[in-house]
Amino acid sequence: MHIQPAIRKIVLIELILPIVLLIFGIYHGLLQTLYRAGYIKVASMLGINYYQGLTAHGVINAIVLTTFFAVAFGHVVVTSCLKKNLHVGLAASGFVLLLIGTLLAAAMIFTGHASVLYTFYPPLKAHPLFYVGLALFVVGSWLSFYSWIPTYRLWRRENPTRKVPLAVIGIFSTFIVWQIATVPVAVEVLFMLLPWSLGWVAEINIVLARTLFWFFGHPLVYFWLLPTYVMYYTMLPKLAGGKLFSDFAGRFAFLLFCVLSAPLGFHHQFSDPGIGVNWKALHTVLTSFVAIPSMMTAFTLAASMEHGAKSVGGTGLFRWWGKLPYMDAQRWLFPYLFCGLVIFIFGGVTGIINASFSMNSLIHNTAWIPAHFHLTVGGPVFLGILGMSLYLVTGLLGSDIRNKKLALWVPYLWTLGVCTFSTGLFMGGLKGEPRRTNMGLSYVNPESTGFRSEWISGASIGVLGGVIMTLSVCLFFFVFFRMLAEKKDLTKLDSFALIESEAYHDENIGFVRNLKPWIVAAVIAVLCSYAIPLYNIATSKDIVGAVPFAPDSPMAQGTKK
Amino acid sequence: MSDRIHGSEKKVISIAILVSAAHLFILAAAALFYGLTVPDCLEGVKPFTEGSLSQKTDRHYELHMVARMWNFDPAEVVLPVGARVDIFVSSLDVTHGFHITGTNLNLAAVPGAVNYGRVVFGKPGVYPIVCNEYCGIAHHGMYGTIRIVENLTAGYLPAKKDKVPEVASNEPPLVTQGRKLYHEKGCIACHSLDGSQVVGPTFKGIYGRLSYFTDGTSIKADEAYIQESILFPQKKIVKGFESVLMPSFPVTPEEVQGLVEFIKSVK
Ligand code: HEC
Ligand SMILES: [Cu+2]
Ligand SMILES: [Cu+2]
Repeated sequence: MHIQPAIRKIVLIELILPIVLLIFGIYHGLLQTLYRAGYIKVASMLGINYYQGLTAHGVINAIVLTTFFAVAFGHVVVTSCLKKNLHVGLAASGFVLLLIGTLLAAAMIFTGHASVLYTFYPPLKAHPLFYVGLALFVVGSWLSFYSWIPTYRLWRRENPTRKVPLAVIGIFSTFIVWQIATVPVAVEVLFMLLPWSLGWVAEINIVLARTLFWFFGHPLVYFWLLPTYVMYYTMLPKLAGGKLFSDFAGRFAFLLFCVLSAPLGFHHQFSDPGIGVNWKALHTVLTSFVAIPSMMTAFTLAASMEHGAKSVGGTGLFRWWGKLPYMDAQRWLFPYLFCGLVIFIFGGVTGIINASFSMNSLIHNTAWIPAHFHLTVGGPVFLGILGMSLYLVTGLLGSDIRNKKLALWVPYLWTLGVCTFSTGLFMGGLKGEPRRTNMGLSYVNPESTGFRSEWISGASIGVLGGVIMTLSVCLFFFVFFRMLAEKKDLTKLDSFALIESEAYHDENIGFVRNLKPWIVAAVIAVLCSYAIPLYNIATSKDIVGAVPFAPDSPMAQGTKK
Repeated sequence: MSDRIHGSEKKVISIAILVSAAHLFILAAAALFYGLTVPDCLEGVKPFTEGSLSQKTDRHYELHMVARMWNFDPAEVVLPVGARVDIFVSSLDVTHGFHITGTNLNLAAVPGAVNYGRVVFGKPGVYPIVCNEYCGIAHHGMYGTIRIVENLTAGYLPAKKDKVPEVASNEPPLVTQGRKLYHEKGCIACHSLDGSQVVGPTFKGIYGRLSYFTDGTSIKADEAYIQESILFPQKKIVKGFESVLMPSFPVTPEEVQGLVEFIKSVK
């Protein structure tokens, strides 16, 4: 594999560090299920409050792990697919900022100064250093991305007639989505939350802050998802023994995500005041369109796997499904991707329900929501990250996986666990059970005046799922850390390569050749759907500013002496 | 290399567009013909600070709901079957949720703004209200109730637990002042008056009761102890309440006296 020694080191740390942090992330995930079902009826365990642990769970699993992985995976994809060097200065400074940001945020969370959950909605206030940490983290991810741009430019200049490899289009799309998404959240953090948490300004416009957050929050989910889509389009077909059914479909899907993933954040704010109903309707329409590239992906991937299964003797309309390498230890990566796809069918369908305008009010902020996103970010995304981290770290270290059979079982066990977990939470959510709530202290506690017996069964199924998920990740940790301890042979690095599928239909379609027009379209789409509502919210006479509150006191911080 | 998009990919894209269009059509029809929609921008409505219920016509009510850390005002609403209620929601502090479970009313209570939704209660029964937006350390204890009753002539708010009553003729003025402070300083968020446990110990019957502390000691609560608890909350921590610490409050000596007298009066 073509990789500079410095980039190799950065990538290794960027992959291993979040997996170590994941130990806390998973522990707090398991605890959530126990608190929620009332198996533990306390406010804190081992000195960590429920909401503090929930903040750690969200920040570590959904922000730190996903971003570090996307950056590291991108470094490998760009350098190895283009066979060119990256800008080490940018990659290294990006890494340092990501690290400092993570440490600051983690320090604030674990000392109890940032129990504001990973959405950090004001006017709940965290320690200013928490916001500083977030800002550094975001800038670090930008610099990491910028380290690929000179490489890409150079390659284009040297290969004016060749198509850019699909994986590179995919990872660039990922970071174009991220670049667009992080501008509004950077504005929120730097110009609103930070000065306000420092006491420099007394009040902020909460509706505006929430809108900027969700302007970021929805494309964020595509930022999580797209690296896994890169694996689906460029690796899964080959793992299945076949070829990618259509190269065009991959390019078109990635470029559509660039345009469509940002201009639709109001589908998280259907219940919010201060935003016009017509704008909410417009975002519903755009959300519905973003299902198009996903449906296209579902077809293309199924067709690619069919090609693989049929080339090893699979037949029939459905019987060929039996010929896929579900249990082939040499191709242990296959089930990580395959199981993720299966889980994602349910994640996708429930996501459409969430985004369906008035239908949203039935499930908004209920347990249904975490049930849904554990089938997206906790399904394809998480399994993709686990599988690819194991694959890359093994290869880059010149190490070996001793227990390939065990590695193979992780995704199946996880699928069983996460589907059980989500079933429980879907049940509760439909009956109104709230998300993000220490229910053991109230709703599932028979001694409380708020006792709701109908929520117990769902929450208990959630515990069962949580236990299976935890077992699955423990199995993964065993395989992963054992691999780290294995004897390394650096000469193997030369023969190590990313899996790259060939295309069955390798179309040459003009309108998916260049990134630029799609970036322009994305900016225009965002302006059309956000400029006017943002202006209205920022200048509304009906919205009054809000002063900060600490999560543990009903006293306004602004008026405290 | 072909210059054409494969026929099946074209078909899939067309099907995807058709499915999405049909989906949008259904949502639009639901909004236009059945009024199933989402909250809009309210113009000219300023945030309010007190909950209230008013009857507009026979079955038509208007409810003003205030969310605050960590309760709803009013915490309980009783209405007749068939009541059509226009609900306005606001918050006094942080963002809260307002979900009347069993209905489609699910609103964000955002400080500085007013939210609106309408519900028609067709069936008798208890409709619990849940705060479903994280609002701080006692979020899980934030709930309320709407009770729909048959053969009721008019809806009402049962003696609001947290309502500041008119000065009872025989109530000493210090107690009245303390009662007011109990609301204004936010003690209500953590201490109930009716024996239920919220974040801190209930004030009901506290005077003369034995308080047990984390260091193993205990004290019979007298005036001096209550005063100390308010001024230096961290000095003695009541057993079982060590996870959420009571914040210190800026209070004047007269205010402390009022609070102590009020707490003593909660039997
Ligand atoms: C954030 C929640 C919170 C708020 C707000 C709060 N308290 Fe407390 N309070 C507690 C907790 C928890 C305890 C028990 C632990 C301790 O002793 O510190 C407590 C204990 C007390 C006690 C001793 C109770 C006993 O059983 O011995 C008194 C008296 C008291 N508080 C008065 C007040 C008054 C008066 C206010 C308003 C000015 C107030 N508290 C506001 C959480 C709170
Ligand atoms: Cu979204
Ligand atoms: Cu709440």
